[in-house]
Amino acid sequence: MKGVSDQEIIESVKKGNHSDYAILIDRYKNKAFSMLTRMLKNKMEAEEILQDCFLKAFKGLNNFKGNSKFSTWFYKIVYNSALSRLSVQKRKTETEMSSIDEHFNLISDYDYNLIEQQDLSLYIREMVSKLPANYASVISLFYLENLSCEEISEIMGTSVNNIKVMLHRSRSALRDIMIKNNYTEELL
Amino acid sequence: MIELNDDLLNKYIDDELDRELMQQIKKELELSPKYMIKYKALLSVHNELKKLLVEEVSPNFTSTLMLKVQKSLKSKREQNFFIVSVLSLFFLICIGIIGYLLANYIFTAEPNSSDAFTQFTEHSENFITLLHNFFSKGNISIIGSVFSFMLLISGYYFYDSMKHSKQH
Repeated sequence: MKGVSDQEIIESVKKGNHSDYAILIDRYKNKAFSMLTRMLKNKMEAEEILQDCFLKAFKGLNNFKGNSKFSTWFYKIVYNSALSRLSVQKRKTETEMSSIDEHFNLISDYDYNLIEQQDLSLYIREMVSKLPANYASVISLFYLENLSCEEISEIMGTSVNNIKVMLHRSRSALRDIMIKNNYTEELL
Repeated sequence: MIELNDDLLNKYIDDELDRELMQQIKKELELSPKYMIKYKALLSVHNELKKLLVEEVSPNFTSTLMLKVQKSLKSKREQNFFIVSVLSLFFLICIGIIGYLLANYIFTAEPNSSDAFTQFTEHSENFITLLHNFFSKGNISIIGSVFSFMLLISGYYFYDSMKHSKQH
């Protein structure tokens, strides 16, 4: 079923082959879960929200006209569901430009000294999980899903420039904390 | 001579600049060890982020979810069945009334009568009188109670089915 496109699966589900929806679930579950985990910082919650997202998408399949890719449409559901959960929990969320204007400081907010941590990959992974929700979702969509800034802006309902600013700021923050913890020595 | 900054370095990594500017930045980086460190660190972060691992959901995620999908379909069918049942009931009542009128007209019509319209009007008037008597002061409270009771029962079942579908 690897060669079958999302649109073909959707058409099949719409025709009544509901079990085909499992193919779509398997295709997107892990990447969407990664994004949710990084946004919500809680795996159990992320899985619960992800189930709701797939159910919402299933119920809304008849309204999906295929104007955009299924992945964009689905990630929009995932992103908005995560934001709703965060707002319900009254966690600090960052939206649109206001969030970009508010500087987050990974070094001072999350002074995570991993001097003992020798593996740079693990170190970066740890730090990404500490990014604010919006920034974490940009990183997940850009690097895990390989989506363009335009597609991410459509998902997050913000401008392409905002997405680029968030992406650059996240990378620079990770770089700064890397320099602070002397991970650059091996680069020189 | 251009002034290097984080924004330019990020764009340089993403290959978003024109060739001329890219060349200038390359030269500037070679002249500035401070920015070279920053650039290399940024590039390293970029490369590490490319290797980010995908988190995995629990093993029975898809099967559990598909069960929920089936349940949601079932509850939707139940909801549709309920709405169709209620509509059918009202439809049957309407058919009954029309049928009663027609039956009255057919069985009491005089074979040689030419003015069918007058006869039909008379039967309709009789039916209206019957309805009027049915909804007279004595009966209205009983009918109202029965109707309210039916509404309450329907409302309860409708609410219950909605709640059921939301839970799944």
